[in-house]
Amino acid sequence: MNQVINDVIDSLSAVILEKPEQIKLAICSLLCRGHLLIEDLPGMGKTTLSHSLADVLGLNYRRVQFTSDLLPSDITGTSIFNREQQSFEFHPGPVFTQVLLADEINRASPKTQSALLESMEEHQVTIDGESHKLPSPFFVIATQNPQHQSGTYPLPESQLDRFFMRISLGYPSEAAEAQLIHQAGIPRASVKTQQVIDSDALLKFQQKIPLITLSDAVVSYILRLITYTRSSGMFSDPLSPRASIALASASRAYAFINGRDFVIPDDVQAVFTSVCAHRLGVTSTNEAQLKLQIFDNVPVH
Amino acid sequence: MSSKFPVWYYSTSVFVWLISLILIDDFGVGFTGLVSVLMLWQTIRIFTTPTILSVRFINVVTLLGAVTTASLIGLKNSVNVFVALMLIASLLKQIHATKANQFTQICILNFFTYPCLFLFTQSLFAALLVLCMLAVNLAIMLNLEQNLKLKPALKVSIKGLIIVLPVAAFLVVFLPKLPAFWQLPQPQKEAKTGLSENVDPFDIVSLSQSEELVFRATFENEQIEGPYYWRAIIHDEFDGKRWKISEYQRTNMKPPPLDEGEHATIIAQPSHIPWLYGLSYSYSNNPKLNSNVFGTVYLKSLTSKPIEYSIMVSDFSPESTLKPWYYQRNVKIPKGFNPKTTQLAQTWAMSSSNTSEFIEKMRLYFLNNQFIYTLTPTPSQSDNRVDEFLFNTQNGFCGHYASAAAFLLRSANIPARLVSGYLGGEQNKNQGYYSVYQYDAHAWVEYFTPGVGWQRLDPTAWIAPERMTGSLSQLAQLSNEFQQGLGYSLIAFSNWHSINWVRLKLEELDYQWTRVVINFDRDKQSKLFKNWFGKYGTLWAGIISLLIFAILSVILFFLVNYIRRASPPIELAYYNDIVRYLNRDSHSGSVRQNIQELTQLFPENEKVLWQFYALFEKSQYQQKPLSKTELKKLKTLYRQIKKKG
Repeated sequence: MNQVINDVIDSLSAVILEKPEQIKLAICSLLCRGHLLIEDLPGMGKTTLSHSLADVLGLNYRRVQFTSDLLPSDITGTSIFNREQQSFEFHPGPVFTQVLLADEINRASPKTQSALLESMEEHQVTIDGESHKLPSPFFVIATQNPQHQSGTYPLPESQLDRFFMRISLGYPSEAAEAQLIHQAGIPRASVKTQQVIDSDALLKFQQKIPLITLSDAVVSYILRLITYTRSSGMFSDPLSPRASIALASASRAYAFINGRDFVIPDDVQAVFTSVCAHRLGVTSTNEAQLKLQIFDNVPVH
Repeated sequence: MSSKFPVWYYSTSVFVWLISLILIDDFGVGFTGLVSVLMLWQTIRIFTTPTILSVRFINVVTLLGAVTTASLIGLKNSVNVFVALMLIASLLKQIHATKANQFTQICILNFFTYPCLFLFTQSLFAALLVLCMLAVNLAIMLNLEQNLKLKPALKVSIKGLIIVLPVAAFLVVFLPKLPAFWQLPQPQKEAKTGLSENVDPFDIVSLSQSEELVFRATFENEQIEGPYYWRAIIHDEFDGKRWKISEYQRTNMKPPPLDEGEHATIIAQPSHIPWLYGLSYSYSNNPKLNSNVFGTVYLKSLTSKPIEYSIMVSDFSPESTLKPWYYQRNVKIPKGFNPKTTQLAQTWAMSSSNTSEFIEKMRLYFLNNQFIYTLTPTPSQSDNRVDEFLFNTQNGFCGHYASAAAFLLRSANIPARLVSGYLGGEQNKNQGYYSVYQYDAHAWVEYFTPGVGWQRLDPTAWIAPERMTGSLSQLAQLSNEFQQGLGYSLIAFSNWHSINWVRLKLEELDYQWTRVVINFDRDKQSKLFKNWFGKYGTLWAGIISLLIFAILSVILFFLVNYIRRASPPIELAYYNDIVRYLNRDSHSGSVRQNIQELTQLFPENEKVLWQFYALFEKSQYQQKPLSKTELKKLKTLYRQIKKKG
């Protein structure tokens, strides 16, 4: 396993107990410059994960709580007239950060949602005809609650597609929860995870991902998986080419995390549901079933 | 051979021994004995733990083997020596072989050794035998290469040979029959049976009866009626003891070509003498044959292959007189031999007015004096053999009677000559051809009457008239004597109906084989092409065969490409095989997961399985083609996994 990445995972594991797979996937998403959607009930550690990630990677971090009356400018920022200088001055919104936690993204109006998604895609914000570059790396972690959907604006499929991965943390094990109880009450600052790498190192890692070998055998496996979603007739929204590209690069990143410079089908399988389930319109509770069905029907070779 | 080879590899040495046994007539008993001894040594090495022989010992044995072989066969006969050396080399190599690649060498050598049998015989039996041997040889190679067991290996090799057969047939039919650029010297056959150019019947104790085939004949239309006297050699010179061929016969005096007459087609088995077979006055247009004024045909050069030729047959043309010098030749008998016979002939001549009266006297003499026809006559070494035969022993076979009759005729100044050939033949009812065997050999007399020409006279017919009507094998009176001479062969049981039926069927098959396959030469090819494609048959055949060849190669090219594309890489094939073989349930799941599962199922295989996986990963996921040694290793790992599983 890559030593540095290993350290990152270790220090994250100290906070998010017994969820190495989810941690890996989150890092995976980060290495691919992709945005992460965490779908979980409240109080499962979504926020903890996201700000710990930012801490470990030495990125600055902001959090926006989405509500129905949130306006696009509340995220992107606004131009305000400066009387002294007799000109409009741009006041950047919370989106100008390296890690943005968009909490309960489905509570905001579609207009606000799309403003955020636009900036996610373009890595820039345009206000009054002027473009403002977002910092790099830029990484959005959005959360949403799968239940209690009343008064929400669920993200349409086309918007969901912008998220590189969707993960859910799930309930912790008993032992892990016991440990959590013991730690509870300790001030947050002392739990704060140590920075392991800086943003430059992260950028370097990101550049390495496309160099991971993706053999013909694995490419054809990916193609078989994608084709299966299209031809089996079981999915109303089969996977798009963007999904196959995402699957490939996620597999590469996963291989990189595991210290290999080539992808094996296991990598593809590991990242498959995270990358594809939300694009296929499968809820996070049905992910296990999806995995079973697709892997059973698509031969590895 | 080391005991680690399967026992059925031993068949290779059995085959070599079998070949030496078949060729015992050509190589001699000594060589077969040598092969048998070596095979015995081989057997001992197989059933005991063999030691690895030292190089020095091997060299000494090889040298000894070569020298012994050469001295047993004799260096004069180069073809025989080299074939024998090859057999011995194959056998010696098998004795010391302990490694797989050594046996591979033997198998490759055997692809040349086994077909050497064709130098000596081209019968259907030999062809089938060599085919079987090659099948086993291929099976051994498959076992060496792919570790297949005897049965599947044999199945694969036989399948391969069967697939190849139509291709071979196609090549035989369509490949242009070019004249050979060079030729092996013919293996020299020892004259064990058959006619000889010098006849001295009185020297023979017991006539050896061989059931060896001499020739087969078919008539274009059944105009010619029996009895069939197949003339082969004309003995027109008598030296007091033996009847010989005069030099005059081989001179290049071309007889006038025959335009009319009956046609007969003959397939003659190879023989040690050039003389071929005809009926009364025969003439042939075959470019390989010469015809002479005696009405016999002979080969320009000896071959080891059966030869097919057609002859035109007619009666001798009436001649009023013989040329004086030729008359002298045909009445010439050396002075001082057989005085009693000469006297007898002269008394008869005195009292008869023409030749037929003389012959009638001769006939009565034979009939009245209780002459006996026997295959085991009383031998005679005296200078006056004919005297002894006519006045004392009074028993003998055709040679004795013909020789005596010719001597009597010549003594009375009647031109006469001895003819040896064959009488009769066995007719195949289905195909209508006649088979003539060595035991049908016969001798008779031809004498000259002015105004009539040459006429046939068979004195044996007076004594044993049954001899005229059929083959010797059907002669009940002589069957005891005859069968003793034959020993144990199928024809000795010809009284048994079912065995005789089998014999006749085999005989028929061999006839077709010789006619259709062995004698398919340039003439027959062009005739066939003309039949198929018309006047410019050969040209069309060439074009069509080239076209077929081109189309086939194009198809093959694409087929190979297709197969190569369609078939998974060998690593994948191994992997699939392992998973299918060891763990039927796991068809989903990645390679790594499946290997993981297998290590739990077969913990003793864990290391090997992970080694296999590492190589698999390298080729399939790291996109690095495996080197030859790595592929080899993958194969051995695959075998290990399968064996333990």
